[in-house]
Amino acid sequence: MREITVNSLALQLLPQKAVFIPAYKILVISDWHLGKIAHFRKEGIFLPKADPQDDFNELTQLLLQHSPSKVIFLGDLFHSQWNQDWEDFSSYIRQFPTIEFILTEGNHDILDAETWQRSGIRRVDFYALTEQRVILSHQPIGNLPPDYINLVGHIHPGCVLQGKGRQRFRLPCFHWKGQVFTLPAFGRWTGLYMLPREEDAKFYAIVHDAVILLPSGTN
Amino acid sequence: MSRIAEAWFFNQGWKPHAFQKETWATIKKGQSGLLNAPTGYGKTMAVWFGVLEHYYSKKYQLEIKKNKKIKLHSLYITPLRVLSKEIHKATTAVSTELDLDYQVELRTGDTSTATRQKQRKNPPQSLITTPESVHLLLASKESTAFFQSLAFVIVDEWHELLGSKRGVLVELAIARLKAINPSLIIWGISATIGNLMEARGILLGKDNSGALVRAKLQKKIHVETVLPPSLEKFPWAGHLGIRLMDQVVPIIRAHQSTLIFTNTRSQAEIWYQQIIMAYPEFAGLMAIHHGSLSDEIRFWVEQALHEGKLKAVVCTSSLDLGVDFRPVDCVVQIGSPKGIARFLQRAGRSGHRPGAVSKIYFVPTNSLEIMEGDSLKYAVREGLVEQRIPYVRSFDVLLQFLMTLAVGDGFAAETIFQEVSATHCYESITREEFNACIALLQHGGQTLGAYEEFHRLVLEDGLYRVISRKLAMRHRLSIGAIVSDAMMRIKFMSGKYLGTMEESFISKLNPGDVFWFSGKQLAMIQIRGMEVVVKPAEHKKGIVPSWMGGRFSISPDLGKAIRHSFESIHKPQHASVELQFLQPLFAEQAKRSALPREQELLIEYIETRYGHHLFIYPFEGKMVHEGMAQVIAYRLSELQAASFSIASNEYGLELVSATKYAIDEAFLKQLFDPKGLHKDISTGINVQEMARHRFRDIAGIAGLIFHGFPGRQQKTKHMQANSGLFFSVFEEYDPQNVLLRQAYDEVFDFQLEEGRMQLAFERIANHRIIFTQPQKLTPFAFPIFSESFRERYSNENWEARLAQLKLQLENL
Repeated sequence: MREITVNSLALQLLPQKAVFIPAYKILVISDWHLGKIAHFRKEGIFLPKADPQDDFNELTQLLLQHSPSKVIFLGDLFHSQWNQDWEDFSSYIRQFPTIEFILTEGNHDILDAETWQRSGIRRVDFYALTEQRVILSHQPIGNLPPDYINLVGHIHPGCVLQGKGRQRFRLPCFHWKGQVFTLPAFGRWTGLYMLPREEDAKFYAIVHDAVILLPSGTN
Repeated sequence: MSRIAEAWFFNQGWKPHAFQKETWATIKKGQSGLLNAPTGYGKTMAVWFGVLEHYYSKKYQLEIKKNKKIKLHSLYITPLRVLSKEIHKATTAVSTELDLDYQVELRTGDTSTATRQKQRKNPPQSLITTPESVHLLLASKESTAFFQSLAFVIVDEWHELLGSKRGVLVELAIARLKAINPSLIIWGISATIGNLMEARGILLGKDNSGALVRAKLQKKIHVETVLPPSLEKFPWAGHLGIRLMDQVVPIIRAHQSTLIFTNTRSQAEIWYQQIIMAYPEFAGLMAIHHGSLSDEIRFWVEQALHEGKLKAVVCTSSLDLGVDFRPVDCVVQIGSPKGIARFLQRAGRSGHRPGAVSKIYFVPTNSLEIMEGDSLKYAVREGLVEQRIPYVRSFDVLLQFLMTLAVGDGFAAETIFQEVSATHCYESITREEFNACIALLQHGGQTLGAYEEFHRLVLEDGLYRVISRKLAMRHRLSIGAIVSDAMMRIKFMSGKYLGTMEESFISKLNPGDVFWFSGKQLAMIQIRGMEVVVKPAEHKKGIVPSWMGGRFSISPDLGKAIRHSFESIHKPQHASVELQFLQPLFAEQAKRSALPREQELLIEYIETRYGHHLFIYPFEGKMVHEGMAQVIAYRLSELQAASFSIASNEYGLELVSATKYAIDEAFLKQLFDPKGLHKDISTGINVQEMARHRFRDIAGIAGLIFHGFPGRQQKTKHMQANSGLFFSVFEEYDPQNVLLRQAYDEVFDFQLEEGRMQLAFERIANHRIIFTQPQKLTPFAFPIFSESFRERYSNENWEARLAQLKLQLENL
């Protein structure tokens, strides 16, 4: 875990590819892409059936560890059209009646309004922590007032690291540049989008069980 | 002798070769077989007149009369569309000249839909086609009826297909066609390879003995190495060879027409560009030819070559096969040809007139490679030639084939199992494995908890079929065993099409960027879907696209020849020009480190700013070195945890680590102990990483990845994924999956070559180890050190590596 401050708001960057905001007891999860394997199967790609429980267990761990009162999914929660995985997910979150689940809608979230309603997840375009001027949304919001910080997902940020002995690693990371702070994808079956190591950007790479701020400008 | 052939040869004023007569006689007996003959001596005609004779035999004519309708009589399969065109031209000419009603038509990827439909309704006597197109025919409705009267299948350049999964496509197609028509006559045409008998057996099937006809024609080959003016100024490492341009140009001038072969498309672009820039007088007299250029451009180049209008063409393997260009009297090979057969094939592209000598110049790209000139001459002299190793148990191709049949007339499991297991590729598959393939297509593999929503294969009245039209169409578009990256089409504003290029390269370009393609400087204007719009650019230095692929390892036989050259270093009295030229380099090697003799193994340990490098020189070829490197890395780590990055070339291997080891000869001897090798291979090598890599092609062929409809962007939403993801899903939820196991098998058979590795370790166990710790990189070490393509296998698990990385980062 690594704690940073954006606009006086403390964020805990978790190596489980999530962010915890202690001041509000909010857990932020981005780009889970649930139901992806099932979606591929439905399209005739002969993959074995993946057990959605394996995905849920990862969230359960985080919920037990941090006891959030809210979980905000930062978009792309469900990969595509409805499939059985969604129902499994709905009944899974019902086990946590004290937690409010919120979704800031992403481009992949194409389920219909009724399906969302049944699940009890509140859908919003963005979620604002006005006091600290922090806005959570799936993709960066245009024309943001200059003193605001935008927490987003969408691109599945990754970076390439050069280790000693000429080794290279591709790792998921948190990425902070200007007003935009991007979370890595939480989902297990998602890819990485490699970002260039620009001078004015901060990279918090997830290395093993730690989150490490990369020295600027190396590699 | 065949009546028809007699008439034709008489008209041409030619005399048939003995092998042609032998082939006609064998076919007349109704026998199948394999013809081994070089290109340019009438091998096509040797088989073709047998086909015609059969068609005009009383027996077959009677059958036609009974059937009333004309149906397909022969299929002629070639590996390349260009070749198909050439065969089509030659065979059609025979029908025209002799006024025969035997119609020959092309059926390739280029054939229009209208023509295809016409061919289905009203087939010609013969179709000239490719393995993929035959499978496409099998994927259409009533294909069984279409092939009902087929009497002949001819497979040209079988040696070329044999060692690839396209060869498996041929095996499967023939098995099916044989089942439709048991009296089918099958002929293969092959250049000389190390396993001709096996090649025949695989083509004809185990129940079919068949003949082997060999043309006893020996072509003279003259090999010459192009040496740099001085050894000192020639680089120790490199792949381009452009420094020798000024030596190559006089060769071009001295000949009528020269083919310059490079190993990659980007290398071809660079050579073309550099020659034109330094010698502008070649503009208009020189051209470029490679697989990414449009058919139109390639056709123009080929035509101009035929007509003798071109002084030189820079090309890649795109001109390895196929048509003979009579005016070509010289071939230049840039860099290692990586195999003897390929070298001979390329040499054979020159000097086509009977009795003429094939002339080939070898242009080394770095100093140590000069030695390969000596090795190639030795290989040619000794008649060394590679075997083509056929693929076995390729479940990816089988899955594709099952889908093909299901999209066509549907299939009965038992029948197809019998047919498939009679082929060489699948002779060892069990009924359980076959059923597992069907289960995969039916419901993604698991019988329990099957999703009702999964529809790929459906069982109806005992036949497996594909019902979804979308899936059927998708499948027809993805038939084949060549996997490539997503390709983008390059076009001018006017719409003129130039060729295709990997998306991965294009994605790195911004509008306005200039790059070289097709020998032209182009500026990128914009990207529209899968098209790149460009305009000609001037006055700017462009970048040369790098293409994936084209990276192959040297063959075992060329490796053998290279080891022979190394042994000759110590016998200066017999040394060739190349070895004499290299003497100063060997002296430098001896000065900095040591020059090993035959029974010695040289090991160097050098420190640079990148870490501690252990260089080992077994001279076993790149493939074996890669495996060896990993075993040694594993053994080292058993003594002290560390991770290594690995590089290798034909001569040796390198392990780089961040930490230093205390090393001496006894310690090294221990590392090369042949005992326990198998155990160390299976536990020490990160086979999973290698299998994951292999899985890319397998997933593509099996139909797990769909590249979208041609010319259209992938419309299916939310379907983007890479094979790595699929690999992980299988590893986690279906570890027994046949495709997954295939990936591992291919790693052991084709990449690690365990057998060869064992022999190498045993050989080394008897060697004396020479251990040196030079201050600087040595001539032997440098080429390996600068290998840009590095394997990054580690003996530590991923987590431990990350933990180490974490430590490094935290200490910064």
